[in-house]
Amino acid sequence: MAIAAVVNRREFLKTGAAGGVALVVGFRLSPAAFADQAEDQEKKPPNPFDAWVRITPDNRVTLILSKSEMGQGIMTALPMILAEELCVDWKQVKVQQAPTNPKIYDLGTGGTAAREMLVAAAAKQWEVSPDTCKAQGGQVVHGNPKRYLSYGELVEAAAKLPIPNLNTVPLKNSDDFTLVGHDTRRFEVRDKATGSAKFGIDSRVPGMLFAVVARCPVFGGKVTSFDATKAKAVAGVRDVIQFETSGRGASTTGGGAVLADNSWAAIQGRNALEVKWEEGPAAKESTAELQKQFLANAAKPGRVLRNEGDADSALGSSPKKVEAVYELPFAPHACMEPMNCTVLRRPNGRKPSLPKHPNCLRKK
Amino acid sequence: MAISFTLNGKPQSVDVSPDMPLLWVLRDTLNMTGTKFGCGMALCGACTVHINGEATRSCVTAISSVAGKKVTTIEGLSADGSHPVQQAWMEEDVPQCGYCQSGQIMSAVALLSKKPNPTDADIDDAMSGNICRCGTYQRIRKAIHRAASMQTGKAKSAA
Repeated sequence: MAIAAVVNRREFLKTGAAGGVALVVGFRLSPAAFADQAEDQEKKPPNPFDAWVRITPDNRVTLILSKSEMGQGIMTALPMILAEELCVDWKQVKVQQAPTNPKIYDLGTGGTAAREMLVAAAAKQWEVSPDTCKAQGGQVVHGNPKRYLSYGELVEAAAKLPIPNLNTVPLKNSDDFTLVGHDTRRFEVRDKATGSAKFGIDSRVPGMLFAVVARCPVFGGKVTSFDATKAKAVAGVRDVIQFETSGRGASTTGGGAVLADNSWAAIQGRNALEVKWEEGPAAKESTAELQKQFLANAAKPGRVLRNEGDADSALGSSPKKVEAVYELPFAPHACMEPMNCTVLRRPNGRKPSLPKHPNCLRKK
Repeated sequence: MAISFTLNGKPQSVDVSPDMPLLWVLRDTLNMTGTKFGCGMALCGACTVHINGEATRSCVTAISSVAGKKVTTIEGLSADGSHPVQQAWMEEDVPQCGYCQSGQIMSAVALLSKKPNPTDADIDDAMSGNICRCGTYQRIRKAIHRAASMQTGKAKSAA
């Protein structure tokens, strides 16, 4: 793992990964309940027995993944790390998408703690020291002749044990890795080859409407006239809403949304919507102009975030100096799935919920 | 007025605006979300389905023009992912983000039905209308060759 060279593995598991620490008993995973459940749980400290790793008595292991698979392989890589630390057979492992609450599901650290708890539960049952027990292939092994207890048999007792200190629990020696660093088939490839993988735009909620948003093509522009008469006359269009920008860091200043029974009607409605924009000062923006601005800004002193050593004198005394300018054009990312979001409007003025898994949105 | 056609081997009837593209009938009326919306202008290939066996961009195909025809979508290739092209896709680990892959697979299946043993040039030619923003083109090509040998191998052993 290349990252090991620069980041301590424990730190990586803790801060960078969505690993897991617990054995789940009776975890409720109804998609419709996600939002409400997450909100309820936000009020009290997360119970680790409600998340991350679910082991059932039939020895199936389900890893609850809080990160979105976007082609980066995270749906496979993080569970590999977790399964490695937990010492389970990869064939036992299933992965399930977590609800949206980062406070609960981003706690970090691998399956190490869960493994230690399972080992402790086995040691207790056998009345031996945990040091003499070993976890491997989804079971705990002890003695000669060897005796075994599967995770499925241990999970109930293990779940009641105290949770080990996540900063000191012993990580597996990398020489003993059987999964990390080994070629593994990606979890979601079958779904992507059969069309059953669910992307954000594939969210379907009973009775949902489809909306297309009209926004100024220039950052910072605003609406000068807005006529929804023709849009509202399109068959299938339910409503047209004009909105102002709200929220910090918004890069556009309002526009409108056409809500309809299906995407086609919403697109037709948007095409019929008559909006005029005042594009604002950014309308004159160009790549050349931006480049000039960046160069001018780069010449000014910046905000110091970190200052180590004495760069000026080190550079001054260096026998060899290399100078280079790197420039990137301002370009759209243009991913193929159009930007989209599914919003569940809730009664009594409660905040709308986002039933997919945009952790970044919830954090705001 | 209801429009009838054959969808993945079964009779299907929908009562929608005749100018509504097949893509939206599939995705929004029938909740079959395997076929993807990318551009809506037949430029990206994400919405590719088969109409009477021909690879067709469903985003610009009015439902009225589909009446009486046979439509196959990604969901109709196999019930369990066992179609040779899907198998080859899994074995070559083709998808990255995966959004374009339904369209890629439908184009690949149409190509192989016409050319059971395509050359690299045949593949590039037939697949040029399907864009992949992750750039999985090399694996797509390998998977098509693999599917070709799986299919022709099967044909030989059946003969």
